[in-house]
Amino acid sequence: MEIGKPLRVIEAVPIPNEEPATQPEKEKEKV
Amino acid sequence: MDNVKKCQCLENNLRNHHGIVCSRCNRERIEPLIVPESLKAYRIWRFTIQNGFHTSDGWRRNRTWSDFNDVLPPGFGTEQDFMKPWSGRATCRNYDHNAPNPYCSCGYYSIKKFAEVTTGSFGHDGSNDLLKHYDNLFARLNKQHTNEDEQKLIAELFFNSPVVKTLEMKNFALVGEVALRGVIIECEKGYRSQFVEPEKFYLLLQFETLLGICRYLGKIINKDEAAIFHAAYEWAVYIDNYLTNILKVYGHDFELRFKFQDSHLKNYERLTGDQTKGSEYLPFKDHPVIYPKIRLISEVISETNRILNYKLPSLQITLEKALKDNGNLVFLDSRKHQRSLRARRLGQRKANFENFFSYFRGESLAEFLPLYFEYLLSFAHFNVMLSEQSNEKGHLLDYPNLTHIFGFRYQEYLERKYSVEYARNILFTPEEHPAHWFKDIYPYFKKYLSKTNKNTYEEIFQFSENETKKGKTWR
Repeated sequence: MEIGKPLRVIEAVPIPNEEPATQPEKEKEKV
Repeated sequence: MDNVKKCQCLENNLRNHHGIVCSRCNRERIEPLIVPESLKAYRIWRFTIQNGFHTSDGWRRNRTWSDFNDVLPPGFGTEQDFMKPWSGRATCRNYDHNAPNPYCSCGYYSIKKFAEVTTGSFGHDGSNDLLKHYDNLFARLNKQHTNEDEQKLIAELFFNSPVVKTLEMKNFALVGEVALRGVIIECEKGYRSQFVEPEKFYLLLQFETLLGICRYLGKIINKDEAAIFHAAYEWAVYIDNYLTNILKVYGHDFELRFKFQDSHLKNYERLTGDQTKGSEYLPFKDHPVIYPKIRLISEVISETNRILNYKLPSLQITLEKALKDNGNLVFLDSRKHQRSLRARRLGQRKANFENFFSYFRGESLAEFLPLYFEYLLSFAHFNVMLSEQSNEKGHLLDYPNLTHIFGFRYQEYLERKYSVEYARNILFTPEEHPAHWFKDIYPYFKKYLSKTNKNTYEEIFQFSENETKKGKTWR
């Protein structure tokens, strides 16, 4: 299979699933 | 944006051929450019009917797991599956570096354009393989090797049955639409990559090739042109069904595409770029010539045959006719006369017409046919299983008569063979079961069934055992 002259070297990286960063739980109010 | 410097040295054809970076012009390490997800490209894999994506299918074929093992190896149907040539990362044959290396020729090759290259060993068009193989096969179908009666018997069976014609297809190119991941060396026409994952498969054919093969057979048994078109169309439908179903087992979609060299392609312009993929190969199911016109001829012929009660060739009668000159022939029971079950298994790989026509053969047509019919019926049975997505029926006789689909009559042949044994014990597996003949692909199919939550024999058995343990009695 002839693929010709090289042009560029690439790295295909999967996009990480952007999950909403878990917010630190609020401190329970002291009764 | 390029990160590879253009080569200023003398042109080196070999280097351009494989997309190799010139080490004289690129002295420093190349930092790869980052792209998200994947790139789309096309490449071919060879497919054989008996072994799937297996590299060779010659008489010297390498033996695989099923020749030495009865139990499934681990990793079957997962990412690291040896039955899938695209599984895992690319490796280099020569050095122990990570593939693809910019300065080496390693990696998974693929090209950018669909059906750009059609000929040669990496060409996308499958009809060259088909034609070459059939040419070889029918070159021996002459007076030197077979007498006139034998020729007619073989031609009749081939001409009428799309199953026989599909079964004899050998080592043809399937084009995969692939997603490239990891490190990729992009070149002018194509890529070398670290990972390749097929998303859809295509078989590209020229309709004239199918017509030509059918015409050759039709002339031997004096068929007219309409019947030839009918045979070719039926064959195309069968190929489409079979490959769609078998590739579903691998987890991929399939599309059959045809090029028809007809100058009156009026509707061609109406098709969108996505349908044609910028090529002359158009999808079989809405092809502007084949679907409206040739399908019509085919339907008229099949309806006429039905009304006139045209008899398709019968396996029993074919066998009897082949025996005609050779009434004293005694069939040896191969299980008794071969050394072991495994020896028989190796013999089973060879029951196709290519081996029958080979110069080394020492058997007559009558000796060859019983084993071939086993192979043929097991293929037919497997196809019915695939289209129904179940393997609950262990015998072709359990289905209603499928003669009109197979293109040959088999009921009488099977009933004679299994009249006593089959009636006595419904659970024994006949020789025509796909488990005997498709040792590589059939276990895949079973796995696929368990994925789609269809009951397999073992599950049913296990279920009834568990229920019995619980104290349930079966009436």
